Amino acid sequence: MRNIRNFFAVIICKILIVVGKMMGKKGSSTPGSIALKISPTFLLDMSKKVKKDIIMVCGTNGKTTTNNLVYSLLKSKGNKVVCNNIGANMLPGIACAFVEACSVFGTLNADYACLECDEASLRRVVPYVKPNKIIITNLFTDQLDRYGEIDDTIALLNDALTKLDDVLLILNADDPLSHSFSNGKKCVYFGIDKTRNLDLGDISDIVFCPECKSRLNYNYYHYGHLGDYVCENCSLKRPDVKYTAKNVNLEDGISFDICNDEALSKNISLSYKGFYNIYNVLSALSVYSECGYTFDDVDSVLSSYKAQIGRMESFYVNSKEFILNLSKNPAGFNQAISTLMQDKRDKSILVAINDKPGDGTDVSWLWNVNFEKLNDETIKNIYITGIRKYDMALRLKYSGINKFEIVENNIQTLKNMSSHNTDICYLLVNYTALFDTQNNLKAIMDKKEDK
Amino acid sequence: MKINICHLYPNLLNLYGDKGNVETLYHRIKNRGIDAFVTEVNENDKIDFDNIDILYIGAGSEKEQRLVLDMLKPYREELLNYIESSKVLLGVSSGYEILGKYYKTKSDNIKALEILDFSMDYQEKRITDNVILNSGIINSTIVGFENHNTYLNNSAYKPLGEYIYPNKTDEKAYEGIVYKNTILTHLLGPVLPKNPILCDFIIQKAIDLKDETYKLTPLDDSLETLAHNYIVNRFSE
Repeated sequence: MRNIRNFFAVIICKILIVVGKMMGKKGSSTPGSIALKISPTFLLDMSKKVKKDIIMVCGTNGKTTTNNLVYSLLKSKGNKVVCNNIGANMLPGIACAFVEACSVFGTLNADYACLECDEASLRRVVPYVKPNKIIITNLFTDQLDRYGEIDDTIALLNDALTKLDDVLLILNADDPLSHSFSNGKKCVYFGIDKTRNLDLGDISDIVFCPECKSRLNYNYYHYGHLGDYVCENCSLKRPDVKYTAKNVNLEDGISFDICNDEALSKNISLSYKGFYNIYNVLSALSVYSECGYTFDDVDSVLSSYKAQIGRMESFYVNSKEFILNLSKNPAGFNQAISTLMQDKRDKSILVAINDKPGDGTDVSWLWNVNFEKLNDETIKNIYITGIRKYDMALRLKYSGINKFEIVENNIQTLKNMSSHNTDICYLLVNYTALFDTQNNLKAIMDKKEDK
Repeated sequence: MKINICHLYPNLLNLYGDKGNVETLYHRIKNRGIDAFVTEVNENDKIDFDNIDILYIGAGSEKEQRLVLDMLKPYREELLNYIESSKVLLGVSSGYEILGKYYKTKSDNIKALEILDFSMDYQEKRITDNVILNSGIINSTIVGFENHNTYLNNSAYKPLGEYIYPNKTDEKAYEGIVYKNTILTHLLGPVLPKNPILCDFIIQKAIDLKDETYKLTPLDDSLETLAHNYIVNRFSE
């Protein structure tokens, strides 16, 4: 009976995925929800067939990029890998990923599964899919009306972790909140060494010791609350790091040496934009190493990795470069601003802020972003758009920026930007503004032969 | 004239962009040609109530709210005198709840500073929505966002306003507290940038204590009005 139900769950889910694609839906989770209703056990049965590891990626920022990097690395070694790389990161989306990977008869031939998982959903996912390795990228205050306070997120993650007996946690040593998960679990840490005078700004997120609530002292910060910390009261400090990024350089993309605890060192140089991408690459390489692989052949995989939608994604319109970046919470937004400020060329900027459920309906977080940094002579034009454009405009006004235009988020706006006398355009958009903006860019972007 | 704004514990109480309230107070004073100063008072600093004209206590997480409550206990008498002597205080969320008799959380009933005669009960379902109030005190609508589990119980004071949106009934139809020159609210947004009339009301109260003849001149509030009216128009139908 269980087999028959599993069979129907898979078949119907597969049909719904195909129908959804024909209707042009991106990353819908409906087929997965229906499949789980038909057979609540199919996902458990199927995920047990993964031969080697099930790897999950959680954390506030960097999940999608990290997960897709792990997927690309494992695939490059000839592995068959299940992955929810179309982005649906809750239980139904993960169910869809398994259904897409299996045959119509429900047989799964997979060596690994790489699954991005929403922090609040992990406890609902682990009864069905048991990860052997979990990366927690970082924890920052996110949309508060959706996720609640960061302490609530930590509690939800710990609730999930207690359901897992044998799991290896790959944690960010630079994030003091990682200590909240280490209790009794096997852990390895990745972290970034002190950098040489990089102005990453944005040191805003004062954190108190997760153990004794005293204030943390920092030897250095990278950004937000990430850095080398020690509690002024109890003995809590940055843990020993197994995978360290040293000699960081951001002059042309990102460059660093990854060193493991056996003092093996390997230079990684990539054209990715943004300091935060060091964490994404570092954590992906850490789990890759924990799967038993060396760093010998990773260069071509990493350099051919194509940025996912809206992750510093590059387009050309009238031969002008447009960089589209999803910026949806203070930490992510501050990193995006730091990244574009490292680009010394003259630039135009568009900020699109929506308040649909996927974005968070509360926009108060805009006031936790350091928009003051956009007061810079290399920024020639600022455009404000999205459902909450007036809130954003007020935010800029109180940042001391008076020269901006409130516009519609449409093709005409992008065309106007492309005709300006600036070298590059940065588009910082939150979640539901992303697809519209990307579609508009695709409609007017230069065809390959024009470039 | 000089107005001193005190932002209390910004390291702990800046969860919902609270610095936006402080910035708005600061700029709207300064843009009238009045000297304005912001003092950030953190954990190890002493609070000098005599040199505060506007005290702002903002929103933090549940954990941070408790830390702040403990830090303020030694100042209870001074804070009570500050409020009773009609000095100006804006408390938002945590800064509201800690001034009453007690507030409840999911698991605890926490004894607060007992400066004012109200308390906060807890409901399981979190209240998150955009808000429009009608405020008789400032003769205007007030817009904002609410995101809390607590609700006011046994208040002895005038409310800040009555809900136009969302539709609420009985004692829950009212938001906030006004007592002398203390204004307490759960409204986020932050609340002041989009509500220039409320912000000026607070500033005028602080000025009145120094020079009753000085009246604030109007500013160009076209952007503020657009942002305010957008919320009113979107949710009031």
